[in-house]
Amino acid sequence: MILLKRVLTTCGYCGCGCGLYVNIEGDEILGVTPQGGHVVSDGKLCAKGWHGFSFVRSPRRLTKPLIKNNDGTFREASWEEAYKTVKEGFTRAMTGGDNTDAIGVFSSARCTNEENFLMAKLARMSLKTSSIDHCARL
Amino acid sequence: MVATRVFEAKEKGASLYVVDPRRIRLAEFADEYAEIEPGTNLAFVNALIHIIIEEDLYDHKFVAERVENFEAVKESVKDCTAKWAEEITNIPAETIENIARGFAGADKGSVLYAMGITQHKTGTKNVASLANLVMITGNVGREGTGLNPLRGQNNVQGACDLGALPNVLPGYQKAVDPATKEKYGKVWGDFSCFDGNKIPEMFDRIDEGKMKALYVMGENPVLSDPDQQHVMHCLEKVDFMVVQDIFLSETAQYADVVLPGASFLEKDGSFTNTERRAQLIHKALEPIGESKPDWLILAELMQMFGYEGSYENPSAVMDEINTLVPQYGGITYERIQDVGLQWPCPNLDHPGTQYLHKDKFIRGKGLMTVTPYEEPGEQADEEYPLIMTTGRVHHHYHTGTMTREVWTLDREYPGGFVEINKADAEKMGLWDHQMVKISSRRGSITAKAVITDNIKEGVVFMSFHFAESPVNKLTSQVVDPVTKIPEYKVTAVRIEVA
Ligand code: SF4
Repeated sequence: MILLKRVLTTCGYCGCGCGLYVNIEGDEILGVTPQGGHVVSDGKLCAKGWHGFSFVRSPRRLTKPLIKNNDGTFREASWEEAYKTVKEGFTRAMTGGDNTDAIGVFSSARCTNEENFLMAKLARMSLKTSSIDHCARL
Repeated sequence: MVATRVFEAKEKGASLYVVDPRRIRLAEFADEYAEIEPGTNLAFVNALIHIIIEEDLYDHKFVAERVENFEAVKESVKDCTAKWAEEITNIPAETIENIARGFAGADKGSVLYAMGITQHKTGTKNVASLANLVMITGNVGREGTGLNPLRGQNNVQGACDLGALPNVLPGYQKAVDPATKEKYGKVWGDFSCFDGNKIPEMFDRIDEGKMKALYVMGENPVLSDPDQQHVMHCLEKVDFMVVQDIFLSETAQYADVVLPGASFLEKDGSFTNTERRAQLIHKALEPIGESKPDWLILAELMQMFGYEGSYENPSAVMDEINTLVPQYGGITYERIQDVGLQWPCPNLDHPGTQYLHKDKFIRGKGLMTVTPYEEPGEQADEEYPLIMTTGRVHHHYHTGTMTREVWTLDREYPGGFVEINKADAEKMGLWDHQMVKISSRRGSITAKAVITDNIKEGVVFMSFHFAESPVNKLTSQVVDPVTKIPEYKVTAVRIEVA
């Protein structure tokens, strides 16, 4: 038997950061419950918080790494091959010194704090570029 | 949620002033609604400041004790009368006076703003002028006051705090400062610590043939950047591109490698909201298929490039943040398990900071800035007689990659549309829901006409949620010289039957 699970989390749609429980059965979202007493939202949510989660199991989600063929189509690939291709691609672009004008990195205001930090580190430490920015100014 | 707070304040007797070229829903509840001409915010705010000083309604004590450069600003707005601003903004002088007196007279006044202020050639000055306004009225550092930017995407605050910016390391530590290099060097070893290229500059470097590779995580610049033609040209041109996303977005189509990331329901981590409050997210579902949490992808790639460290989980990343980012020094997973903490929170005993600038500004005294009015980068003319402004609609989120997958949200606004004032529509002989062609100096797109009273005459509104009506084919490349934020809010266009 699959048990109903309730997971407390923060809504990821806007900068308010409302608190909610996601009600889960197996791999399916049954719905959400606002978190009473939450410091920001105190038991309230907007339409996006209430209804905005079915995209997570959309059939259009990417489920495997993709690599582009010579004819412009994509084929599925293993993580190992994808990582190798990423490494080769960036290595080709590297100048041997600093790569600020050679490699650009777009981070994301939808990703977590930790991911933005790691992206800054990957850019500056591994790719040796200071050209890191995110689209939220747009 | 912010609207809920505004309604609550209104119920308790607060006055509400709404300034927007669209009669947004909130305007229905406003004490004064100012239908402003797009691109003229500075004229409006400077007139408010002029009236408040002229009528001696400003907070003398606050200005004397905590503000610098008041005299220069006073001098700079001396001719910015309500009448002068009426000419430019099309807001009646009387409305401007009422708002100035109402705001200055309030015991607590708060300014809420979003992209309507920043997405202009004068975006930085617009924000500075609002800062002048809250300073002269003493509305700083107390509950219910201040200058409050409303961030659209959920973790803009966190992305900025944690270093997704070209000129600073995480924690706003200047990249070119030798102290930063030394501090980070101890943990990161050799790294790039220059003033890097901002996004529009990266596209320029690609165009020049210098920038050869691009890594795009969780963003869809084909739809969200200004001047779509230019962006597509650059993505076509760049030798190598990696896109990491949860859907095969319009941008991902240009990628050489696409890495499947996980949504916020499929991973652990933290977000920082607009109040600077760091809060946890918890994994509710496993990442779909073979997709991986983005933090794990980034950590594994770092190792591919020779990094010897590793991260067991996002909490371990936060441990490193605690040591390197002073504002987050005391924000550990353990402490924010139940309730988030607001930065600055420098150490484990610190309770977090509810109000910034409480007794003094971070830089000491508050510096007022002279911010003269400038015309927007584009003007309407005979060929392009209307001004288009852009924004979001309530049910969609940025470029729609998430919300358009949710049918309960998508059915509310199922396609691209352009809002046109009734009188303008009549002149052009358009009817509601007719397909129209919208052209600017850069290109044309089609969308459905929505005829309404809720927008100013001479102004049309489009939202950038819809791939089939890519508004950014039309917008110009005029940017704010400081932030490089494009002037999305003012584009001269022409409309005709499609
Ligand atoms: S529930 Fe609505 S207001 Fe709250 S964070 Fe989510 S999108 Fe924002």
